[in-house]
Formats: sequence, C-alpha cells, structure tokens
Amino acid sequence: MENAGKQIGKDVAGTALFGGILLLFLFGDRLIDPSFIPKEVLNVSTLFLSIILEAIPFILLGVFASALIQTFVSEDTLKRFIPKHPILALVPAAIVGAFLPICECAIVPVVRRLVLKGMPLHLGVVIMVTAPILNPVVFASTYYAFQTNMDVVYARMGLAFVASIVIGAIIYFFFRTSLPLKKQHHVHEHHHHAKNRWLETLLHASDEFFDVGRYLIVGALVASAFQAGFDRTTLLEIGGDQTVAPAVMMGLAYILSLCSEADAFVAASFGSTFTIGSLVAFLVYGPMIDLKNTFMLFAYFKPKFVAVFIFVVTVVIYGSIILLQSLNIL
Amino acid sequence: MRSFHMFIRGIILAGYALLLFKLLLTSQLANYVSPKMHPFIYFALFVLLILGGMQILRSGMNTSESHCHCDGEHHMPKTPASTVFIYSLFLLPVMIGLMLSNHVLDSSVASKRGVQFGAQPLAESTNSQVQTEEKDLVEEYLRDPEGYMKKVDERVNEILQEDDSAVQSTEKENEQLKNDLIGTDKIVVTDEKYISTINMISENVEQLIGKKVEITGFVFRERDFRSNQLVVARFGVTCCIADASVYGMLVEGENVAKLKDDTWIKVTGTIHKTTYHQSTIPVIEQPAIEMIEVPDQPYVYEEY
Repeated sequence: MENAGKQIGKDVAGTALFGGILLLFLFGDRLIDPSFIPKEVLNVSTLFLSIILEAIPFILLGVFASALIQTFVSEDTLKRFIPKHPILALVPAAIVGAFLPICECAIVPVVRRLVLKGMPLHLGVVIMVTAPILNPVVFASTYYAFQTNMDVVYARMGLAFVASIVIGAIIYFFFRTSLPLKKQHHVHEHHHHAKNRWLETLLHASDEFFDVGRYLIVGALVASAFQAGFDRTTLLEIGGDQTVAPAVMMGLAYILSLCSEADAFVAASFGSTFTIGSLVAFLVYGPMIDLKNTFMLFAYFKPKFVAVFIFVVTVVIYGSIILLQSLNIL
Repeated sequence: MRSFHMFIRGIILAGYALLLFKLLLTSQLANYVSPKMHPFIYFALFVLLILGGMQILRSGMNTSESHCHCDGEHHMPKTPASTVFIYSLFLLPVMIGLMLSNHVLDSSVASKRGVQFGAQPLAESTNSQVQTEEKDLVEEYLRDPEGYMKKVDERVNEILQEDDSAVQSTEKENEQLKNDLIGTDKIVVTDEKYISTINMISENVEQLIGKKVEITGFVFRERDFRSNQLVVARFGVTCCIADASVYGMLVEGENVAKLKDDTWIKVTGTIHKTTYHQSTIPVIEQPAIEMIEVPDQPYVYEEY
C-alpha cells in the first residue's frame, strides 16, 4: 500500500511538472515584468541560455555518436584499426581528429566512449584536442576573420596539429598504466535481438545527455557570469607584451568558453592591440580546453586526470608560443 | 525508482523541445543563436521530441528493455535532495527561456567588450629580424639599384598572383561594396551588410568624407566620451550571442547629449574623420536623430 502511495505521489509530481512547463509555454512571458529584474541578472541569464541553446544540438550529436559506437562498434573492430606502437599511433590519431567534423562540445562524449571501448587514452586525448580546431568550418571562419594576415590561420592549424601530438605523448607518459575514467566499468558485449539495438541506442543517448548535461549547465552558468561581468577593455594595455599577452589571452579563452567556430572573430577584435603570438595562443588553447569543457570532463574523468590534462595543455601551448616568438616565426 | 527518473527526464526533454518550439514560433531564437545555426536547432527539436516521448512512454512499462544495459556507467541521483537539485538545474534554462526571452544585451555588456569602429590592422610585430632585413635591403639597393628594382617587381607580381587565387571571391565582394559606397551619395547601413559596410567606411574614410550616411543601432558611450559624443552600435553575432562583438559608428553633435544609453535610434548625418585613441576613424556629424522601437532583429550577424 505504501509503495502504491509513493508511486501515485511521484506520478502527480511529474504531471504537475509537465503542467507547469505547459503553462510557462503559453503565458511565461506575461508572468513577470522584466523591468523588476536587475539588468545584470537579465544579461547573465540571456548569455547563459544562448550558450546552452548553441550547445544542445552538438551535445546531442555527441551523445548519439557515442551511443552508436557503444551499440554497433565492437572492441575487436576498434582494436584492429589502432596501430600497435603507442607513439607512432599519435600521428594517425591527429589525422583522424582533423577529419572528424566535430566541435568541442560533441567530442568529449565520443572520445570517452572510444576510450571505454579500448582506445588507448593518449590517442583519445589527441583526437579530443585536434577535432575542434582542425576542421573546415573553423578554417573558414578563421580565414574570414583574419583575411589580412594569413599567418594567424596557418599558425593556428599547424600549431594545433604539432601540439596535439606532444600533448598525447606526455599524457601517455603520465597515464600509461591507469585508466582515469569515472566508474570504471568493463563494457561487455551484449547479445540482443537486432530489433532492440536502435531502441537501446536511443536510451543510451538520453541517459548520457543527462549525465553530461548537468556539467554543461554549471559550466555555462559560470562562463556566462564571466561573459557579462568581466571587463575586456582592461586587458588592452598589456596586449603588446611578448610574455604576458599570450598568458592573458589563454586565460581569456578559458573563461569565455567560446565555440571554436566563432572565436576567431573575437580574437580579431583584439587584433589591433595584441601580439600575433597571443592571438594564436587564444585560438589554439580555447578549443582544446575551456571552462565549459572542464566541467564536461569532470562528468567522465577522474579529477586527477582533468588537472593533469589542463596543466599539460597549458604548458605545451604557452611553451610553443614563446618558442615560436623567440624564433621570430610569430 | 528508475521509471520515476525516466518519467521526469522525459518531461524535461519535452520541456526543452517546447522551449525551442516557442522560440522558433515567436522568432526570438535569433536573439540567442545566429540564423546560420538554426538548422541545428531544428535537428535538436526533432531529437528531443523523440527522446522525450520515448522516455515518457517507456516509464510506464516495467520491462527489462526499459533501460540500457550499462547501468553502472550512467548515474541516477541517489537522494531526494540531489534529485531535486539536479532536475532543477536542467529546468533552469527552460524557465529562463520561457519567461525572459525578450531581453536584448545592453550597453553595460557592450562597455565591457569595447566597440569596433571597423576593421583595424593587426598590431605591428616588433621583431628585431625585420629591422636587420630592412638594413640588408638598403645595402643591396645602394649596390645595384636597377637589379634591386627588378627583383622587387618580380616579388610584387608573385604576391599579386598568390592573392589572386586565394582570396579572389571575398576580394571581389569587398571591391564591389567599396565601389557601391563611393558611387552613391547616401550610404544606408543595412542589417544584412552591417559589419562589412562599417569596415568599408572605416577603411576608405578619406574617399567618403562629405557623403550622407544612415545607420540604426542603440546608444552606447565609452567612459572617456565627451557629452556630445556617442556610438550608434549593434552586437555582431557569429554563432551565439556569447561570441558577439560590438560594432558601431561614432556620432558627434550637440543634440546627442540628452539621449540615454540603450535608446534605439536611426541616425542620418555626414561622414567626417576624427582621431580616437591614436587611430583615424569615421565620425557622423550634423546628425539628425530619430528615436525608434527596438527592431525585430536587434542583432546583426557575421556574413560568411
């Protein structure tokens, strides 16, 4: 009896929730007068919602790709495609990343799934950092934003390729023996009837949307607070400094959490005051790791891995920019 | 227990679908996401409806099929408090979107991003190498003036050819727009070509001095502006408004002092040039100001 009561209570809660959403759908914009809400709150919530709306389709693509891999790709098939030598495999991994037309929101669930299926972690990391930069849409937008200076475009693409291999090699060194995934769980082959496979894919995708979504929402909330509150014009004075400017632009790329398709235009708006090296740092570092993605990584990986990963990416990118500057290439 | 989560999750997914549907119906979606990205939103709407519907239907059946076979991997909230917290988190964007979708980013955000008065050249690189190279070139010229000039010609031709193949199409469009601007008496800055027109006016300001210009935007002031100055500005969006930059033109005239920030105006005036923070930028003088309602499409979008 008690159980039945509980069940009814929960049904009522769910139905009330649906009724509430439906009510907001019909009359939501007439419920409160926005002029009573502080402008800062409105700006943050508008930016927050725009980041979420922009990310949802790509998260869905990512979790679907992940679910399809889970259901249709066997561990043996995957193993056959991966070169045996861990270091030599880095280059093909970077090339695979370059050919995957996926941005930074979608790539995290896909890489996690590939690693669960037996892909070595360091190769997954290489794919995760190359895919959002080395893709045709990002090339086109960077080209368009920096028409007057093609060096920026080539430096972005070239550095992303080389740095990803270095990052992969260092990650290999740190995590050769352990797999830093949360809830380690051996993915065993299921033997289902074929008709259930599509249904299973859908259920997977939906569960994973909720797994990663909560982290995305928190990440987007923090990023939008910075977006609305942080005064970028205060940065302009340090833009010409060869050692400080790249670090500052990397920090900015991290907190702004922009899509890699769009960040070139924001970088271009700093073009008249910041060094070329710092612009390239912004354009390479941001897609590899940012605030929003840090939260998403926490959904899947152990905190120690996330910390080491961020540290390695930061040191490698900053180091390469300083090196390229001292060689007068940037 | 699991079926309860499925039910709630199904409703939340349906809530997201309703949110996207409403933003599409009221054409407010462009207040968040650039029209270029809308096909992805249609895709999301479709997928969310399927996922949500499936979750709600399945939650009623207690078969072994109703969950995927990797329970250890996905985590359901364990305590009632964490259940409420996590699902509230998911409901937050839905509630904001259904209740507050009228808000347009305002000048307080603009002042933190800084305004773009048009395309600006990239910062000069201060490489010492450049200087030594120049020195070498001077010496070379002094040794053999004719040979040197020949080399320069060859190099110029090379550069021209490279340019030709790579950037022809955008070049052509820009050239077309530039000719249009120089050919006309009154330049109207349209929403569709807002950013490129502003860039062109800024790059070719010398040739455009004295021409009439008409432009729409919101009032915005940098902190160091005089009382007779303002910028008529728009947010230019690439993918979503989080990546928006502020584009605009400077307006100068005694009649602008009383205008409040964030007022939407249509300005008609004459193009002149002025100096702001050591760079030459266009300015609209003798402005005629007309106050307008917030346009249906307050943002402008990158044109590529």
